[in-house]
Amino acid sequence: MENEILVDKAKLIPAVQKMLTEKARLGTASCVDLGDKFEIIYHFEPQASAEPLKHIRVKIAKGDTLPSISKMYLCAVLIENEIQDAFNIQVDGMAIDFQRRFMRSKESAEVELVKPAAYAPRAPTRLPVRCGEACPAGIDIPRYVRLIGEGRFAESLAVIKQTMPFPGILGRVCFAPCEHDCRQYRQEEPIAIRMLKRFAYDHATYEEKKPTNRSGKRVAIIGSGPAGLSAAYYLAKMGHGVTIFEALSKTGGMMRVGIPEYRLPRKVLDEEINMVRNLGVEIKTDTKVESLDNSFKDGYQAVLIATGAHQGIKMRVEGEDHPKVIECIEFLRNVSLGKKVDLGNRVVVVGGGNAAIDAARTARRLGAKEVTVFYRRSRAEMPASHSEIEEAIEEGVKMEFLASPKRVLSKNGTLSLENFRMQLGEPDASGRRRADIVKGSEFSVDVDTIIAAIGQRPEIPGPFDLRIGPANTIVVDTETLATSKEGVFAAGDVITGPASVVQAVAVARTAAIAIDKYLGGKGLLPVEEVKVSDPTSRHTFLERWQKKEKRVEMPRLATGKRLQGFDEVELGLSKAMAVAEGQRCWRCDLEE
Amino acid sequence: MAVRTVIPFGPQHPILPEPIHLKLELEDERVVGVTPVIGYVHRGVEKAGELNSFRQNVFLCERICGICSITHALTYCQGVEALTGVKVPPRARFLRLFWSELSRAHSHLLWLGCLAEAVGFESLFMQIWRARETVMDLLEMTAGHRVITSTCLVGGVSRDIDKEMAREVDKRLVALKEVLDNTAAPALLHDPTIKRRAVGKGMLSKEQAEVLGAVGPTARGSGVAIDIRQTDYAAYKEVGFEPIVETAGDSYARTLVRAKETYQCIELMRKSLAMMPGGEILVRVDGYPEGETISRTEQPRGELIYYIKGNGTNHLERLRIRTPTFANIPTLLVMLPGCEMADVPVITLSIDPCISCTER
Repeated sequence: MENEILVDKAKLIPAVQKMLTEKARLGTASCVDLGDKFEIIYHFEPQASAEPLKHIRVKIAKGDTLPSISKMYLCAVLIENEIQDAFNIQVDGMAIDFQRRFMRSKESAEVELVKPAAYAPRAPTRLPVRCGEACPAGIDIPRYVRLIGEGRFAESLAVIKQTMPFPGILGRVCFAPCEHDCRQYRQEEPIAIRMLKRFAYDHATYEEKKPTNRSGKRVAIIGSGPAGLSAAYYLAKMGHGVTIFEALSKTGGMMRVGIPEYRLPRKVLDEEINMVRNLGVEIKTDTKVESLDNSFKDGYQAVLIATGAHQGIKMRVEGEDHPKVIECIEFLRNVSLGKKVDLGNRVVVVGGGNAAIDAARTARRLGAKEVTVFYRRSRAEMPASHSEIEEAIEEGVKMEFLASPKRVLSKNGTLSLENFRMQLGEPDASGRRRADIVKGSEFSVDVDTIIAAIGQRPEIPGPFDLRIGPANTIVVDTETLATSKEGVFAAGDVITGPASVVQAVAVARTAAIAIDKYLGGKGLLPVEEVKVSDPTSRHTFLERWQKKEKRVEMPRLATGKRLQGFDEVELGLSKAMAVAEGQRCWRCDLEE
Repeated sequence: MAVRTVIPFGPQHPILPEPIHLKLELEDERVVGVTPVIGYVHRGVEKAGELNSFRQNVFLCERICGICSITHALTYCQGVEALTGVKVPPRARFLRLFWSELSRAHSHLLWLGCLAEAVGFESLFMQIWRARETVMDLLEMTAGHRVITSTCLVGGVSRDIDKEMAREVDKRLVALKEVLDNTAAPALLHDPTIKRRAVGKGMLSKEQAEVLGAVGPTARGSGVAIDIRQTDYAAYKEVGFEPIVETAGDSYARTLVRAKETYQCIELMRKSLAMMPGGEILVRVDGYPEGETISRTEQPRGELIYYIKGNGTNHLERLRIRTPTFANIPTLLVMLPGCEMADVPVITLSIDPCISCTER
């Protein structure tokens, strides 16, 4: 502080005496515990009050006594008694000594303001945040969002890469449960976390560190979908030799054959798969694994099954064996692999999930004039993501709610779908409202093609001889993801049923750790530290409360252009948009 | 030979709802010695200030005292702003002045009413407290709360007063002045009862006030022109401020200082609303407080001192609070000896003791 006068204990009284002769007024005295000693600061106001305060500072050892100045300044007597009480310092020669009964009752603590022996200032800690907790992959969301707000895109990408290997893919196709849990979601303006992830991938580069030590162990992974690729990525990083077996002719699994190209450009997918390849992972396409025992014979110490859920579920209605009734997942796969699919003009998609919307939008792009999605509940209950429904409607997809198929009729070469009209009842166990059939409400529509998008389930070859649970999934240990067979693990949709890419990535990480431990490793994933300074402030409540900032709008391809091909619909954020969006974050991870 | 007795005054006494205990030594009816005892409701706010984060401390400091909660928050905020290098926007400084003065008007009117009650002037007490109700309404209207307003934040203020509200406030302040002109002013200036209870009672000379470290109206009633509002904080420099000083040094002089200051408050508030510039009211505070500082403001009862030491983390190393009543209690040691026992309540009241401040 300014105007300090440092004195030792012996010089205190003369220094105060000098203040008295200068007619300075005693403001107060502050006592501070410095750990090994006490410091007492006397604050004086000079006679001319325009002058700044003067401070006499004296340090005394713990256990030492303090001479009283109350003979000169009577008003110091209360302050000194307080210091004596609160700091357990003996003050000698006070004008009035309250005998340590000044500010203390019988019940009060022995010494109140003295710091504990092992005192150290508490370092700022980060708080758990809702977005980060909602992320299956456990990405440090507030940090990467903040770094984009600060214009540090490369560091931001590195933060994402700490826990999730595919920012390019997930920046495009993630369902973003984080955004739903963002605190600004209540104002209907959650941070565009997914778009920022994509932005970081598009605008920054990240150099993968190749594994330095080799374990000499080999792992076979069946399936090159998100789960298989992530597990391969992590296992390769931990130094294991990894081979992926892919039954189809192309890699990527559901990311390639289930997600249409207008949502996930194949260029991005290939880039990310090549990134995994560059870590030394071998991928064998067109190789269907029929026997696990053969894998072990071929020299693999562990096998991970990540075959996903590629088998469409039937509608279970009369007449669905008609060749023009096709399964959604098969349809999407055929389109993705470049096979010719003849749809005709009138297409009905049955189902309300993301796959149904994907099929409908793909059908529009293939030239179907009239595409209708039949869903048995109403729009509010639709499991498909809101923005995709919006985009589908923009592209001319019609929605027929409260309609459930009764049977498929074919007469004289014309195909028609007979439906029940439904009505919504009470919410069921899943929280959605139950759909009940309205009696006598059947109606039928003439169609050229019916796409059944009821759902998918895993398809597991019989010779695997594993314990199979409900909905044809593989039963695994929830912690280690080990199956009923020694050395065989499973991850992704094959154990959960159809889920999301991010869940597959997250579970594959757990599987990689479990496999590493099984192979004798410590299960430690190499995480690259990102050296960035932490922020020191979060938004004040006023910024949160008064300035309602709008969520950034993703620029989209014009509707007319969309239907001409499979160009990506979302165009990506500009730098200015991304930075503004990053700054909009409230930084809930900081202490208030 | 006079009879020597020790009479306890407080901690429970009708004149003062708050617990301060004065051990009065009497010779017959005359006080010859006094020992103040506090600590009945000590709350450990200084310790709590080390445990909370520095932003949360604003709300802690506000709760030290109900009447001057704004000034406590303001003093704390000014200190932290100095340590973090934050410059408060001008509009926020004017708003801080407005609310400080509003709380001062509240405090002084409350005290004048209490004084009227202490001398047994019940109707004046009612009149003044009715005027005080206007101030409370203004607090509620502008700050959203009548007591703990939470208007002050590190980096500015949390609420704005728009033009329409400013006009309404101004109208009510003019009305308040009129009410005071018709009730408090004539009674305090001319009523013989009040004069006989206050004039010449509880004498505090200028020299005594200086050496005892008296602050606020207690010091200004004795001719000591100390008022922290003269130093530049909030927007007092822009609005313009001159301290009100009386020289008599008795209870009556201190009453007059407070009564005149109430009028001054109204003027300062009206000026600050009229002169208030536009713009931001809150800025973002980046960084943690590091270093040490003294922050001083003028509370209704006098100078409030905060000593704040930060260590570059979210938590303070030390928060020391010296409240004005703590500085004014020693003046009782010279005011009371020599007076009649019956005058003790009015004299004690004349320093406007706020024990909730003292027992922080």
